[in-house]
Amino acid sequence: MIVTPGNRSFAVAMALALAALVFACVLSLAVGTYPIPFSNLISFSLTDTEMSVLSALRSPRIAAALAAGATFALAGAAMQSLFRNPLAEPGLLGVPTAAALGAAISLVIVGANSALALWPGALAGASVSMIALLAFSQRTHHGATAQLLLLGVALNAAAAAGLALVTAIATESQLRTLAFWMLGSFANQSWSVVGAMLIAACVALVVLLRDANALAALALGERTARMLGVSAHALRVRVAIVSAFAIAIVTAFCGSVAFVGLAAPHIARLWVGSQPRRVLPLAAVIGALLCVVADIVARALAAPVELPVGAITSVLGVPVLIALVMRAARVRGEFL
Amino acid sequence: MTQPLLVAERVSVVRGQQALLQDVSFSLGAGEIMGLLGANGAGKSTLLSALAGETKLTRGEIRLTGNDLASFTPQSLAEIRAFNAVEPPLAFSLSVFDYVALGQPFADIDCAAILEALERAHAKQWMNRDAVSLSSGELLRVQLARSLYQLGTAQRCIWLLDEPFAHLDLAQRQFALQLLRAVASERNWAMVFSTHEPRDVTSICDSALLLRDGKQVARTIPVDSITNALLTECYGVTIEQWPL
Repeated sequence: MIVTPGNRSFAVAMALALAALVFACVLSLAVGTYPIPFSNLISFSLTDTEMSVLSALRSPRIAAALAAGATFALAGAAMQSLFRNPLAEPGLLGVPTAAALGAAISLVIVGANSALALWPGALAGASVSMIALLAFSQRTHHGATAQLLLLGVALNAAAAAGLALVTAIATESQLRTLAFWMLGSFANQSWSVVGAMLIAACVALVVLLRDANALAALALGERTARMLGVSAHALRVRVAIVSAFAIAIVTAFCGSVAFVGLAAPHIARLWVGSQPRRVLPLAAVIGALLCVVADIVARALAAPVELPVGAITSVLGVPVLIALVMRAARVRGEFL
Repeated sequence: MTQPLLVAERVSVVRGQQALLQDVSFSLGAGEIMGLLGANGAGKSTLLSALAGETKLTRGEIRLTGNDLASFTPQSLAEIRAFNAVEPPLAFSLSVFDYVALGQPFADIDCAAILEALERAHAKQWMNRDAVSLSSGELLRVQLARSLYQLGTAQRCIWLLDEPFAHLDLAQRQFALQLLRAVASERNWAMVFSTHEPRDVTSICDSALLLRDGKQVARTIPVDSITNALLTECYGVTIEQWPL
């Protein structure tokens, strides 16, 4: 990699974030209702029970957290660059809400009987919103990012209204199931599901990294980006669809993990600047780290009761983000 | 005789019932600078936007280096044409170095070329500063550096600038004018810029195009033939103080 002023701090930040992620993953293997001593983990001297706990329960759970965190962070970083808006996040395109509506319909109307059976409905809901997004994007005029944003707001509102209508006729137990799914969980994932999520995260990473420089040029405004050779319309469609696709898969299986898509890109940006070619990979690692740590806390804090991971990601992410924003403002002299 | 770099033939742009440009024609050779003069709404920005390949023509044709403008892809066009205009504020912090690097978003970063462009625009001292913190005059110099990096040292390129000197003080204005003149001569670039100050045109341009209500008042005239009478016709009010 070429050594530019920003690349040095990126290499340091990436190394630190990856080291923290590896440590969090090892910690996550050890912590839980059935604790596994560190010494056993490091020396690979595991009992049969410990081995089956690791392979059947904890490893897929960690992999799911990695995939979900990276996906939400990547989609959030891409949305923020695409819309030139620091408040943008994956939910802006309406995909998670549409997935929640699909899940609610499969639970309340079709009669799915557990949180694990909600994914087909969630995937269908997310797919419908993606198709609407794609159909609209193909018809928008050049420079119509604001129109795409408005469509996301409209889709969100429509899905939220549908969700309100469906939940109005839900029973108490259905409401509880739905609420837990909506707050997110990485538990009880099969390896085939985790594999699909990891593939979605990798596809999103590869496609978005290929478009990183074009996304960077969008920072100057769509008009300037076009003058610099960026096909803004094709870029907008590609980024929106890839992000929505990856979010749809992750949300269908893990529910909506709040705040990661907003916080992880900002933490990465405050650390290494705004160039998407640095922000995207670092945000993916930070997003994965947030989710793995949140999952540990969700399991350990009130064991054996498992807390909703979406609530934990917010609790963890908010103070980190506030601290970083205040530090950055202090450096610029905007805070005393 | 070498063919002109930039040719506009009977360029017309009509939106709805309104003719924004009507039969504007001119040609510009390598190393030539043309100034655009005209009142607000005369069609200067529309013409620059059409020359940049952004605005679709209702009639007429624009050729760059002998090729129809419509035949270029966005990327191939960006290799030979730079465009500077008012830009929206940055949404995120970005160092001046990274800002200039965006001049070539699809190429590997060429640190030496970026530093040279910054040096040329007298903006190197800000390379590690946040571009958000620059004043509008400072930002303009960084934008000039970005365009210099975009086109590199290639010969026979086209640089279009929409009111580039609007926020500059006297010294900065003189510096920017001299920069354009020097680059046009060294690299054989053709340049078109719009301005509300006729002296910008007379100081560095080889020709001028005067517009009023989308029509040519005077077509690519030598700059020393800008007179009170022509400016009066161009702006629609009596101009008596030109030349000062």
